Amino acid sequence: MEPARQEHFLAAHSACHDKVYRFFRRRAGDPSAAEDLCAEVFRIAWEKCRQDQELSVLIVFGIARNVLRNHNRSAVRSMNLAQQLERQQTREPVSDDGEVRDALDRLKPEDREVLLLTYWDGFTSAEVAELLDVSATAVRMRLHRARRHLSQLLRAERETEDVQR
Amino acid sequence: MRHEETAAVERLTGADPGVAVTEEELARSREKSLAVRFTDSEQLVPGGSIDDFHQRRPRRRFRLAAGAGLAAAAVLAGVFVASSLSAPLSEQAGPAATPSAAAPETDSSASPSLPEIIGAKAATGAAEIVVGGNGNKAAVSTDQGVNVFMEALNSGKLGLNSGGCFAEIRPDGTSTGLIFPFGTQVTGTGVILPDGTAVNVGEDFAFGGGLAPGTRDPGVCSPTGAAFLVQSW
Repeated sequence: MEPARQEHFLAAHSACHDKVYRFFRRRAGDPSAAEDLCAEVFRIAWEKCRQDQELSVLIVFGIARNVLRNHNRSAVRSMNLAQQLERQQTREPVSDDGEVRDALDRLKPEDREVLLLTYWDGFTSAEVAELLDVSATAVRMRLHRARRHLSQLLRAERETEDVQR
Repeated sequence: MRHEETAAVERLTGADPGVAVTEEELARSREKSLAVRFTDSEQLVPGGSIDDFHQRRPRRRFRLAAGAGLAAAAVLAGVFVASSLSAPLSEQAGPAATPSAAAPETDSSASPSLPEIIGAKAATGAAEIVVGGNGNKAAVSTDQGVNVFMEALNSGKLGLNSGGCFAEIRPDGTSTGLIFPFGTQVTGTGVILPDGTAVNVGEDFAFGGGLAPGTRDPGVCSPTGAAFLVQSW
């Protein structure tokens, strides 16, 4: 096995693995799915190392987003019950806080993505901009809008609960 | 940030499922993702040359199709098709009908033959060049009702090749032809895949599929001859 390729890959793996795994755990649900998707990302990364392509954290996350998108599309297309259930799991971020999960599900997908990449995955606005291929200004606007909308949704949920009591 | 928004963000952060990830989970995943170096993953070259991959036949999906075929044969017919018991595997439908791919869980010595696989339709690689409103072109498969899929991943950026055809354009300027699935529409800026997904010039894509089978020449859409047949996206 080529030492340079190994070194290149191991550096990327060391820098990105845990973040990528958590990325999938937040979005794909159970540990085994996250493991499989994570392995797929690094399989692709290993191939890119062969072609001597750059493997920054953002590039690895770009691969991860594509892998997740393909995973979700496959689940949606599937006709059998097991995968329909998987679809339900993968369509929305997984969280133990049901109200937060419901509120996130009601955000616009592009706003939700910016919110989660920022507050769950820990990316800066500039990094989110590069990852999503939009301007940093657009990211800041979406983030502002998403925060405001999330707080409105959570407040509405709380008020509904208060009325029900 | 307003107080209410700060509280919402704190709640969002507190609801992060990533916090619950254990070191044991991470260790297991690290081990698995490091093991990819020792697999035969060279067959899949996302974003790179397709010349050296797609040579192997797809296995997993076909195994599912084969499994479905076995179940259908057993449940609906109740008997094995006698002629298929002695038919060579190469004459059966589908691109991956090898003993190891079709029934890897069974002992081949104990089960020397397989029932005929029913209803499998693989792509032939036939395509036509569709011209969009402003003269841009795309190679679109004419195979309808395909249900056996290749699953190599090809990720890259959509662009126009020298023939004005939508293709994968690499950073070094070289291109790989793409054959889009049956039902794809060509627009001025890109293509609209059968489910309505639009992929425009300059956008990154991640397509599943494989090297277009057969010997048909995709013409200006793939001057190098080899084209990637898009089957999932």
